[in-house]
Amino acid sequence: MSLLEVRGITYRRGAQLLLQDIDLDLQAGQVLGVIGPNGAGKSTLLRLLAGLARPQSGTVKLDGQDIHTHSAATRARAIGYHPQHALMHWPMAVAAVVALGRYAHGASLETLGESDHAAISAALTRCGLETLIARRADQLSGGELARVHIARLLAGQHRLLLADEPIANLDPRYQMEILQALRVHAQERGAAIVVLHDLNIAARHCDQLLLLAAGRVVSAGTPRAVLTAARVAEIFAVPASYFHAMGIAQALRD
Amino acid sequence: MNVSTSALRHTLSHSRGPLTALWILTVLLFGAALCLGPVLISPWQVVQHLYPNDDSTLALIVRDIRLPRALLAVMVGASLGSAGAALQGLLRNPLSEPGIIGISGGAALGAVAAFYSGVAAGAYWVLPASGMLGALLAVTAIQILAGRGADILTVILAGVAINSLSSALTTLILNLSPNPFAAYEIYFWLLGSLANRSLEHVLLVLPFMLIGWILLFGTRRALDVLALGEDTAVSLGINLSRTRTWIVVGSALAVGAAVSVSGVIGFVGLVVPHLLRPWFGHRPGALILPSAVGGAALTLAADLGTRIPLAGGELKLGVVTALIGAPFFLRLVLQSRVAQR
Repeated sequence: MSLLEVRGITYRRGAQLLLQDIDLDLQAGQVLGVIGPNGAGKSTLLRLLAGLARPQSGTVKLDGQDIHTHSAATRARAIGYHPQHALMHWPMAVAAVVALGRYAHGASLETLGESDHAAISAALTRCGLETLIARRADQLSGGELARVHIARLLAGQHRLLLADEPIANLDPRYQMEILQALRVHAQERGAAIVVLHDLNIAARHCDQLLLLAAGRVVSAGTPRAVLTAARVAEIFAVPASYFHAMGIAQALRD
Repeated sequence: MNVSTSALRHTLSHSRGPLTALWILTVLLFGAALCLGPVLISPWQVVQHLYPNDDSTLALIVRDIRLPRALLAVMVGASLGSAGAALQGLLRNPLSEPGIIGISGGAALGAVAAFYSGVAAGAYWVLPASGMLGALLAVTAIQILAGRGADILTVILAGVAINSLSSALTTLILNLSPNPFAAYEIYFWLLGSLANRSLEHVLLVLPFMLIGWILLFGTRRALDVLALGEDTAVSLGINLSRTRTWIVVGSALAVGAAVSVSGVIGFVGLVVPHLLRPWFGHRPGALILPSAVGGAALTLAADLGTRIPLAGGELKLGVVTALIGAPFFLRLVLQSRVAQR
């Protein structure tokens, strides 16, 4: 049985058809990359998988259970979500922001237990935030804040992680470390789905890719099967030479 | 390197010091409110004259004049402070305040309308109920005008619009009033005061305020998580529409009841959460209770300020809080302008 099984999702907002007939299977232990040009429906798909919006037709099953039959609390424990533009409205301390991830398990900052502290501490370490735990969120660099949001996501210890462009603001070192953290999460707890813009990184770090364009699945499968020179040129509207010039072929071989 | 659990525990733990200090300050100010005034009464005399069977002049002053006034200052301040903190957390906007975004104005309109239509004379609960209804209409209108996920400016502007409309309608009712003396009286009442209130006023509004406080206090966890934005908060299991409803109804009950008994007292809900925020880790959920206690302290202090003898009579409480609060509001606006550059 797949960990995540999506069948025939169609989603409209007003008259606009944002996603059409999406199918998706994800096995436990895997990292799935969602790629596609701007406006393809990647973020919309993640919001639907997080249960933040409900498709007009189709089902999303996690471990065989429709996520819309879950209570909000059960869904929060099972699925972690990192939005494309992660927000932090008040200058709370880094450790407190990461601790908010534990709210998915019914905790609050006054009632954190042993396991909560362990999860927060592991997430902070994973994201290289050891020295920043007492720092206020408004005194961080963009990259540091981005890592705080990832740590908040990891601290929830959900079964399925959904991360919408989590590495957009990061240096190469932390891009690698965050993707590695998502991989470790997938192996230990379930699976991860990550929206990526960099096709190279997608080719190197994902087990499976889902290529979307104009709200439809163009191709799904291993990076090698999905990323072909002709398809990249057509879908992303770039010259045929882009594929080799950007080293995607090399990334697929590595 | 690993984050040690003890270091983490230390960072996440909150000192009880600031809240304890606020409680002590409030108790001291409450005592001062019983002792100070045109007649100075020592704390020992206050304790002696609190017994119900004492009919001496001092006992009347303490029990019938100063005690209700001090109790109402605590209740009104706690309502304004907790509603301010909750609204700021919900709208993620440090400038939201019941007075500024028109909730108090709506409540005043409701109360004045009840006075003039004569329905207020019908039953004892009609006046606070009209105040709360006015407040509820105002918050609902602001929510609709500002829309979902509205930015700071939109919410404030919607609030300003509602505020202007309420005060225009209130003035219109005053203009149409057949009795100029009554209109004059209402005008002064609108400026906010706790003078000449009785224990009946206390008992009249207390149940509504209690329900309001409980609703506001019940949104603590949700407010913490809302710091991450609405989508993330929902993904962490927060029921967003319930949180909105509780805060809207809770502030309408607490502020509506407060306004119907004290008139419009501005800026308490703005100043208090803002001053306390750094002491409570900038956590919106951790601010509700301290803001209630701090609001009580500020209102007690401001009410003491109104007792300073002036040639033209007593200062109005709403005037004192506005004199403290308006410069403060300006400073906040200027700060947010700098931050946006």
